[in-house]
Amino acid sequence: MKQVPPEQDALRKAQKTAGVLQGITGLTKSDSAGQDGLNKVIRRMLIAGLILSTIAMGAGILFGLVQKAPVPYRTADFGQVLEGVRCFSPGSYLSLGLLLLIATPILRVLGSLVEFAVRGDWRYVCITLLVLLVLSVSMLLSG
Amino acid sequence: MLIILGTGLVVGTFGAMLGIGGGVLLIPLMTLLAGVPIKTAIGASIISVIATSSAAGSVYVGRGLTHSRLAMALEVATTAGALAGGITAVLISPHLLEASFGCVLLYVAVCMRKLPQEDQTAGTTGLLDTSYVDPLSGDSVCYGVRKFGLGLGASFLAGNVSGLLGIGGGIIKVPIMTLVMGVPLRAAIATSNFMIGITAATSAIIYYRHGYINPQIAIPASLGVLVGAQMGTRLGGRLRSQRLKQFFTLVLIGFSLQMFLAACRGWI
Repeated sequence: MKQVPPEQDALRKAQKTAGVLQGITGLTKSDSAGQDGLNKVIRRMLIAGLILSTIAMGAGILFGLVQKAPVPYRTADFGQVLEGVRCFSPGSYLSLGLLLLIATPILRVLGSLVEFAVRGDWRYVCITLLVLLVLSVSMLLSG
Repeated sequence: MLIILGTGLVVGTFGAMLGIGGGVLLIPLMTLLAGVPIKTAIGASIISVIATSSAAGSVYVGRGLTHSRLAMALEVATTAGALAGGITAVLISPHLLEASFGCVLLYVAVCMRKLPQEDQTAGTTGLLDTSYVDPLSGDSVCYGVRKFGLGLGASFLAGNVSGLLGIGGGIIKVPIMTLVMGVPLRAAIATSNFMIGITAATSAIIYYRHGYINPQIAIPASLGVLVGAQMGTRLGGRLRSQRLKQFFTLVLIGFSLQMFLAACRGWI
């Protein structure tokens, strides 16, 4: 039993690779700390999305009050949103806020994908890619 | 507008506290109290579900209550279900939607009675083991996941219901995770809360394109929900699991009855 079992050897190699990756990314070593790293990325993504969408909605309401325009009852199409944002149309800012809000969980999934890839967790990279695939199909079918 | 803002506030608080996203509450409140047509209410609800999920998610994830990996794995099934549901929702009559909504709620209320009294240490199972610190007792709770395949199937159904009715599907995900998969209630609430955002986003894209999202309703509702969700996560942390379960069941029974009433009124 002097020889090192192949599993242990592979494990050590994997740990070494993970260590190098952690060195590059500045992530901490232990597994629970790795989970914390994932959670931190997710948390930042969620907060960023929420702040951006709230700003857009707030701007929309503000411009609406300034221009004395009523709040529209329909959302603008994707193309109209960008055009309207340039000319300070209140409705477009409101639509942009809604779109940013919808995009927030999607952004979170993208963030997790990057985080799983960085940590070399390929099983979860595949799982995350599947989620993104379903989302893309949803977007394509609705068009 | 102020009524809808206030509704959003209340809905966000309960939605975040119970991990259900609040669509279950928002749709009946809007259709019955504010007289909003059900499809507009569904559009606003799906937006508020995303708002609750993201706002509460950022808190629960920070506390380590969310099982991010389990969530990601179940999300494959739940988004696929939502995709299927979003397509069929456009074709179904509103009263059929209301009636099916009532049925789903009543069924889940019955299931919730079977839950254990308090969060027990379910024990590790070797599958997706993780732990969290209970915010009330300060104990570390370790648990693993059971019957993953069944959980996947149920998540597909939850996604489907979500797409059809504009709810996050948390009312199905929380019971499934606790009753079938052995996840403690508190962790199930946080994880469900996390998942419903992406489930709702899948159908929200379809609703947005079809013009079912009315900014007059959706904007005040989601702003109210954003604030409410922050309060809900803080309140939920202070409540015992038993109390959370009672709230959950009560909410389910009350609103399933109201939805049946709405459906009946539509047919007469």
